Amino acid sequence: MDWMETAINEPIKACCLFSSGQIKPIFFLWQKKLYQIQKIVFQFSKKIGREKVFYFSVETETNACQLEFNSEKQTWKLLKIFS
Amino acid sequence: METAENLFLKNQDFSAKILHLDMDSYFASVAQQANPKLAHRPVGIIKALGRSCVIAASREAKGFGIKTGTSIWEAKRLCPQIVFVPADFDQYLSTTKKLIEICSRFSPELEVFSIDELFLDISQTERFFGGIYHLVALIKKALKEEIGPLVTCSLGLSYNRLLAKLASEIKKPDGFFEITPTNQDEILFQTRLSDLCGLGFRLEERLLNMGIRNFQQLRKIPLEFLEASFGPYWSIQLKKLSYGLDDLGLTPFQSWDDPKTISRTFTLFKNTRSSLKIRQTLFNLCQETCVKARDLKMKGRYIGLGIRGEDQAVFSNRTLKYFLADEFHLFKIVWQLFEQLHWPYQVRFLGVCLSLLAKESDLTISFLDNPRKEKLLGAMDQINHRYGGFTLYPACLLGGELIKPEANGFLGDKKYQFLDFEELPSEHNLT
Repeated sequence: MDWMETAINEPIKACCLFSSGQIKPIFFLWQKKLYQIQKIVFQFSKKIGREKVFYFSVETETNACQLEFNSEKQTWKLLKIFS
Repeated sequence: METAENLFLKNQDFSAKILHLDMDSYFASVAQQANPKLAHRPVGIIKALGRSCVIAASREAKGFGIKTGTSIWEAKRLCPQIVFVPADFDQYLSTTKKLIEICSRFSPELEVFSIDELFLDISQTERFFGGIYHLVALIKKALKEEIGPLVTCSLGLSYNRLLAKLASEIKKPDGFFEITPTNQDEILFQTRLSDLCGLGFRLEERLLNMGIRNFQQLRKIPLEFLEASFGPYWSIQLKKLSYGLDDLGLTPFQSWDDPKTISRTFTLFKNTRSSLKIRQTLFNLCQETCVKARDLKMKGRYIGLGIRGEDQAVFSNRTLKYFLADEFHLFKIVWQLFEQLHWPYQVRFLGVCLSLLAKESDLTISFLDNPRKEKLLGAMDQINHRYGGFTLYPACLLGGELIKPEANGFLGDKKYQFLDFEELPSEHNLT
């Protein structure tokens, strides 16, 4: 089946802006390469226990991918690359 | 002497402005928004990998004749390029909560009808937003900017919920339609009987058998005649529907009643006779049911078990003299019910329900309660609430596939699903 996504699930370093209660990732570093986020196309959140986890579908220059931000652990992950 | 019809019409308030918001191809459009590579492609949402039918189709897939319930095989035949995506109910529920937060900026009078539908009473607030049409444009703009341009909605406006819901069906997708006292008869008379919310297929069939094919004919039938066939309740309801009348107001968050039943069903991936598989599944369902009951601080004393398989179905139940919210106890009774049935077929579907619920605080302390066990269950709940569901679970579920709680499209358990919803409309000031 054509799922059109590749699961990555790896930690990344991300730079983001916290403003007016919003989280806006600006760029992230994965496998020593910097990816500039051009657009956040969708976001949602869910609770895993008491941890609130945010998911961002973003577009970079070359790819579209999904990032995860765990607000309790303050960690970022690259979850999926859409192709 | 006034006729019943005149009495209905006399009490109708035409001044209310009720907006119904219906998301277009909701699950599929959220999936398309979340994965930009799916945009404008035919998408079929399936419950999970290995499931056999489409539960929602994108508008592109609908163009090929694919709809809810179409089998995967049939969908592929109709549209070979279709992409199947497993449902993500957390994603949909999160988007619904965002939608509620957006709509609550326009009126505090809001009713969540299902995961993709809500009603908004804008009678008192539309003037703050430059009138109805401007308010509708503002809602659509906010959805586009804050959720995404692919997640659109159709809006219907009228003076009651029934007609507002009907109006939102008229201009789809991404449309707006208003039913007024002037155009309501024209629209109502063209509407199929079962297309009106509240009139199901069975009632439609009975009406069709009586030669009543539309609301115009239904309106002409004397109430006494309907009463002879449908009884005192449905005759009046049908008569009201024929006039497009709905005297129920909106039910906002604050007025949600406690649930009367908590249930959980599951369709197995394949037919089974395995006692272990059936036991594990039933225990899993009992656990979710009881955790929900404890979270809502409720206990129940009516226990139901539903089984389906090989085109056979059965429902068994037991009413207790005491209340419970303990999965071990519930499972014991459910398993007794199962064994008593001597089910000879393979099992495909299982369902458990706990009903006749009462608030724990309203119950007297039972001598049958086991404080040590209650403490243990409380500790388990605390751990699972802190670290996520099924962090800790009974060993009898080991080795099987865990069935985790999820929201469904009807949001039948909305009181539970919105327990920790931080964006209650009442907390917002109107802008």
